[in-house]
Amino acid sequence: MELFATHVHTVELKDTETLFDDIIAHVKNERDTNPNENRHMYSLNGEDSYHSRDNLVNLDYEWSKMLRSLVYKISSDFAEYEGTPIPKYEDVDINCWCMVMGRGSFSMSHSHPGAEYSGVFWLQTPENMPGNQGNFVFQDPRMGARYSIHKPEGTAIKPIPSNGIVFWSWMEHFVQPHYCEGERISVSWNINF
Amino acid sequence: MIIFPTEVEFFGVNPEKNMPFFNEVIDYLYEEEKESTGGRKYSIRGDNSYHSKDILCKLDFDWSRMLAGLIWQSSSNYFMKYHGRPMPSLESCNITCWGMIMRTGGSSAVHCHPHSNVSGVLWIKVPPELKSPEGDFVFIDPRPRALLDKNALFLEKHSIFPKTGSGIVFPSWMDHYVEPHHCEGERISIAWNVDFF
Repeated sequence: MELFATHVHTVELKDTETLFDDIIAHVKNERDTNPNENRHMYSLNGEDSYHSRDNLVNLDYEWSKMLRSLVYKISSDFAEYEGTPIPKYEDVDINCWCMVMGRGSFSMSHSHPGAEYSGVFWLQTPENMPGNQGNFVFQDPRMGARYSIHKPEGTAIKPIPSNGIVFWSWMEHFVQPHYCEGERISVSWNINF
Repeated sequence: MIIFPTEVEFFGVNPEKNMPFFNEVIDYLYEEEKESTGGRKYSIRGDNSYHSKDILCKLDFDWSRMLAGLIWQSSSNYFMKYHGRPMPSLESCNITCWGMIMRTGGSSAVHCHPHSNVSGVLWIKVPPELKSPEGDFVFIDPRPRALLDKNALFLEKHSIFPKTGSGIVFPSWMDHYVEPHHCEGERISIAWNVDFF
């Protein structure tokens, strides 16, 4: 018998190439106009990293509106599955941001306090990134298990462009560093209501 | 995707066939209680409850050796199933095992079994009138952060109604407690820890 398991919703996005290109172009433009900011924002670390502002779904661009719909839809699917539906589209607050991680960048262990559901999808990863680099890792939320001698490893999820996950905001997670040329780019969000 | 489940395994012995064995354990507990001048009560609550010494598997009686064998086997099955490797032999494990007699009003406060690997409980006597949730063995959600969900007023629980001859094996770190019962009769259980490195 398995008790108190934690659910994570996995998604595979379709036809997102243009959307991803628009997001990346916007974020890189934002970074270029703020070259000395947001390298160590929140959990993000690394000299060649950038954490965008968290307004990506609140901008007056078509791609921003599409992004909001997408984030709402996949979060809503998870919430329905968990039996705690979220309010309608207009009544939720969504914060959404992009993380650009160059060589050596990583994200420290963190959760997303104050939110109910969170998620991430991956836009781009370095080619041939080894299996033990750049993974998104959930830490065991069971404190007793974490301190037992049979402690389970965290659960690592390999970032694949166009794939994503939705999870409870209280789940602690981190991103392993990668040491490849190229950038690992992801979009994350929080939903609150 | 489901991650970080906590594994609990049921096991059972035939209660009728094992009644003589259970009675020997119970008789020993009564004798020990009669001679007891008090000792640590650990989690047990109730002014007429009794927590035995934790040496039930280390006594020079056939029933004690049987008990050690049963505990090792059920714990070993659990360990192999969920950890994918065999548990050390009976001789290489340290098994501490005790009895809990809960009479009307008796219960057990929330606790876990620190510094052990695998724990378990076997119910050897249950009041005939007992009805859930009285006397239930209850696990508490081991994910404290799950309380941060705005829909969570309390941590989730999973209750198990005790039946004579049935038992469970679980990771020692899992918090649990026993609901009080208010009917007449004794609820007697054997609990244990298996330690190894």
